Amino acid sequence: MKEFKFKKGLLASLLVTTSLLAACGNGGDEEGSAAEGDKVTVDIFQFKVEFKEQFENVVEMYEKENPDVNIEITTVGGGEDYGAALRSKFASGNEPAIFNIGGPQDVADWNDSLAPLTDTAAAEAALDGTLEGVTVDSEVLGLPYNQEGYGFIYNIRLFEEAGIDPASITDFASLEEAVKTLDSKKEELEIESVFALPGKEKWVTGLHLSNTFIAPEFDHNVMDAYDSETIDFTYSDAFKKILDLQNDYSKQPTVSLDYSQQVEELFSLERVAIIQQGNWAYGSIAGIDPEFAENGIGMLPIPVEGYEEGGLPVGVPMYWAVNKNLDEEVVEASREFLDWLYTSEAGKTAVVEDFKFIPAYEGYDTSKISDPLSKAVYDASQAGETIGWVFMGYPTGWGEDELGSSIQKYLSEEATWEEVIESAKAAWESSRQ
Amino acid sequence: MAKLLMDQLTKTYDNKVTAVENFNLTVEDEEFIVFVGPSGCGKSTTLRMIAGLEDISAGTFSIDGKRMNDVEPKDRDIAMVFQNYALYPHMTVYENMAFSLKLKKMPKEEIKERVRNAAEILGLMEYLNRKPKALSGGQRQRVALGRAIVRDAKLFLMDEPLSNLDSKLRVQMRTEISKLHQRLKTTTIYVTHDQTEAMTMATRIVIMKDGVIQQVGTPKEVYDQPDNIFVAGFIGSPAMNFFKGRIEGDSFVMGQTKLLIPKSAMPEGRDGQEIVIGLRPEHITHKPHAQVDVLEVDLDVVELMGSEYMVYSKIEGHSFVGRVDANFELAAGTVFPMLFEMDKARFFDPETEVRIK
Amino acid sequence: MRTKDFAYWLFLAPVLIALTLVVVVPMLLGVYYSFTSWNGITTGGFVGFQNYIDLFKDERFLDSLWFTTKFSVVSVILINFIGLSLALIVTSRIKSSTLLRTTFFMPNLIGGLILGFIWQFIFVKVFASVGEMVGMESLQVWLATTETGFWGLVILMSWQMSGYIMVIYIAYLQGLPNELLEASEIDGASTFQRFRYIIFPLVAPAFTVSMFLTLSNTFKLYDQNLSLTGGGPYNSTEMVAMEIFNTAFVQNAFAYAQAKAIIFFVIVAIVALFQVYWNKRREVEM
Repeated sequence: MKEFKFKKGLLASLLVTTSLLAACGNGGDEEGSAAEGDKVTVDIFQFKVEFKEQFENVVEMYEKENPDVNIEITTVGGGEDYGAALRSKFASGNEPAIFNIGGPQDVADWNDSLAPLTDTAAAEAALDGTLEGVTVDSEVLGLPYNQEGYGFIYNIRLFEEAGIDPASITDFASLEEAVKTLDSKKEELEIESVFALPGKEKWVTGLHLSNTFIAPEFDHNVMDAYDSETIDFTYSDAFKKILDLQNDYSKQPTVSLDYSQQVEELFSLERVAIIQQGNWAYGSIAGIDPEFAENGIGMLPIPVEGYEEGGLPVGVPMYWAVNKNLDEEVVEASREFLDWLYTSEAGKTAVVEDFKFIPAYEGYDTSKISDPLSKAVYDASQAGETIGWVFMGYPTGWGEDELGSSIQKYLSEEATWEEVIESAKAAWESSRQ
Repeated sequence: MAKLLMDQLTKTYDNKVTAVENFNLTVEDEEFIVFVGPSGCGKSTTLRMIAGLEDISAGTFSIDGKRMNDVEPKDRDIAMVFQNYALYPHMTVYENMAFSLKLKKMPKEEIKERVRNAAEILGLMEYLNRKPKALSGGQRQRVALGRAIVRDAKLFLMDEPLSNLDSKLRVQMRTEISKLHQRLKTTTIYVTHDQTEAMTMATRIVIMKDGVIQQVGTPKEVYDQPDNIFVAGFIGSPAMNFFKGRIEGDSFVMGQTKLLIPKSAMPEGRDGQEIVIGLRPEHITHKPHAQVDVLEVDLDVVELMGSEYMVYSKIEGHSFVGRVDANFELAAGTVFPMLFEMDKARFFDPETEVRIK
Repeated sequence: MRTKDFAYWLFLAPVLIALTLVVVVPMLLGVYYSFTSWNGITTGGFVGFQNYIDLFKDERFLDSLWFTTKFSVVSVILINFIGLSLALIVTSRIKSSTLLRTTFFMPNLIGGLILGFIWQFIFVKVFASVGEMVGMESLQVWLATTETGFWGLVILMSWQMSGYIMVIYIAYLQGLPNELLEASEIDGASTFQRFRYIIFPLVAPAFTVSMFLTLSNTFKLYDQNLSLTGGGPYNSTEMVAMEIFNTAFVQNAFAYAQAKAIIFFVIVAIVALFQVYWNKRREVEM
């Protein structure tokens, strides 16, 4: 009897083990078979959380028009997390058909997987200069999401009450003048300070602000920055002046001030007059005070003293890439989808009206761009008064981890400006060896 | 050495449950007092009030005339032995015994001497460097005693110290504790539920039930002159036999059975009344030539104890135990004449259960 | 004793397989990658010990290691001190001790990230407001300097973990026979002496467990670090786990990060094992 029981137990455990193993195996099979259906399945692995819902709606529309295409979207938010997630996605063998890349470094890293997009309609329609970072040997490997730009967002009402005409601010001197005027009227204007400098957000200082002063050095070309073995910091004095101006007239301590304090708490509640941010801040401000976001704000350029003092830094934050390692029909379907998204009438409408993008392509009805920040960026872009985005060409991690951290040190008075510049130069050189 | 006074000592929990009520007792110096009673009778609670481990709800406790109610245990100058020994597991035997002295900041040399003395008395010399875990139950109990002895305290308190030992060791430790008391003459209060321990060790016994003292007296007093049915039944083993019946003239009558009561033993003024008589087993026996108060009974069980038999039987529906010298063969199932020594009988009121004197 | 036959191994197999798949294989792979120039996409070439040589010259890594060590030492002491104190409080005869227990344990139920943001609010907003009211400059710069970042992390960690450690101490304290404490009381021990000579040595096993838990938790801290200070200012409050993460996922130096992770693993293992060995010697069997 005992013997019998023992054998039964053994049998049971065997069954459990084998069924477990079988279950694992089955899982794999199912996924495989799904891909082999009549439909072409295009897996999109994208990072922009903000427009996830709108994007899914548009994709649904596309699927209705093209019943033989099935599009699966996975959204993983935030820059760093996306990079890590994308790597594991590839490592798992479950490679996506469409994914996002940021710039030259990503292009180099993913080179083996990038399908050429040169002859797509979208690439054709892309605005001048928007494809620089993703073009290798005149082969276009990525399609821009949209355009974005940043500068000094200001409070129109406060400027009026202080008697400042925004149009008069055309260079550093006039900006400084305006800041001093605002500062002297802090009490009447009921503001805490003129600026709110988010020193905690290293991307604001280390990437965006620095870009304004580094881009001229590299001729606004991201590839020049990417290929350069050294950096001179030609405009480091101008850089220091703007940083000091923001810091001196900011709510303290700037080192622990973050994006949400800067945009939502201080600027949206009209407790500061100027912040350095981009058109993406519109959503945050509108979340607090839609009326203010719609009519109360404007954007000024960040003046680079001794160079262009009226340019708005405008660039492409992210690109779509197509995975060339998948079946030809999947690659083709992916291209078609991207073309449709950016060149068909329905796609164009969605891009501007649903996504609220500033298009990086020609042939859009730009009168539909509604929010004042995007409008400012678009206008600057149209007028050619822009500064390029070269920070995608910085060495990996250099902008935030090196320069951003050093700037925090400088703001904490733990380092001098010379030390910041020197260590940043050294770090640039050592990582380009 | 100490004289204790417990006056109207009462313990109530949350103003509801009364554990001890109006406990009055005076303990003279050098006495060995045993609190005995069934579990839950309040004997341990009383001891813990004396130790200071429980607050006194009402009444006064004093040592040598000094009120102790609000004195911390450590300042009462008492030593206590616990049921589970309560030895510190991380200290050696030596350290266990020296602990209280060390806390008193006694010079090292003196501590050493005292511990050695105690160890010698208790036969623990070879074990001084062992941890309690490496000792047998009896040895642990000795260490616990040793810990009390070295203190040279005014008062020893022992809370069922032998109940975790096997019966043989218990008997042995019993005599050792008695000897120790004779030697040290420290006033001792000893709590037990075992009436044998109480009878063999105590100078006076305090019998408790439901938080109330039933009787206080020397072992002989409580054995011979129990104040009530509870005490009579609790003290002595096997327990006293009780028979319920009625006095009719010079006899005790129950059912069809009639037992003659000698004049000297007859309680006064109870003629015709219900009564309970108590007879200890040794007073229900067999005597070859006895004439009076002999009843033929069926023996249900016969236990040979060596020199005597314990016989179990029934009359008129009352079970009883008798005791017969073992100088002849006796077997269960036989009918046998038993003598009821009515001159040794104790009479109790069936209502109040108090002894009629 | 039966010989280890087929059935023995068969029953053991699921555990062995699982363990191999999720622990041994990744571990070995990790060691392998640490000798390459893997960037997360392509394995790259074999570089020998170069990664290990580099990391001992990597100031940022060494700084974070030193910061983590300081943080761990201070936190372990504080958490155990507070945890034991709380345990002593709630096991004493005070009223509403059950409620207190629950309250003290609660922080542990909140996720590290959320907790980091809550405390960030407290340090940055509440402290600043209070500082403004009472005019204390030092309260207005919390988390903006390395020192306040350090103490902010220590406070957060202590607040979160003390309740958990308290529960461990409670378990051991309640396991102490009451008679022992009473015996010591009668032996003349004051409250402090009772703690020093009786309770403290007897809860030694709890120390082993608690020290191990706090030590490994503080050493490996990531989410609280990320949400409270984010390593700032200027990466000076960046702990090792975060430094490794950044090396891997921000700088894309996966192999290098892997080498750091292995050194980190070795350090944590040595510290933890040594701690357990050292504490075990002081334990007493009841």
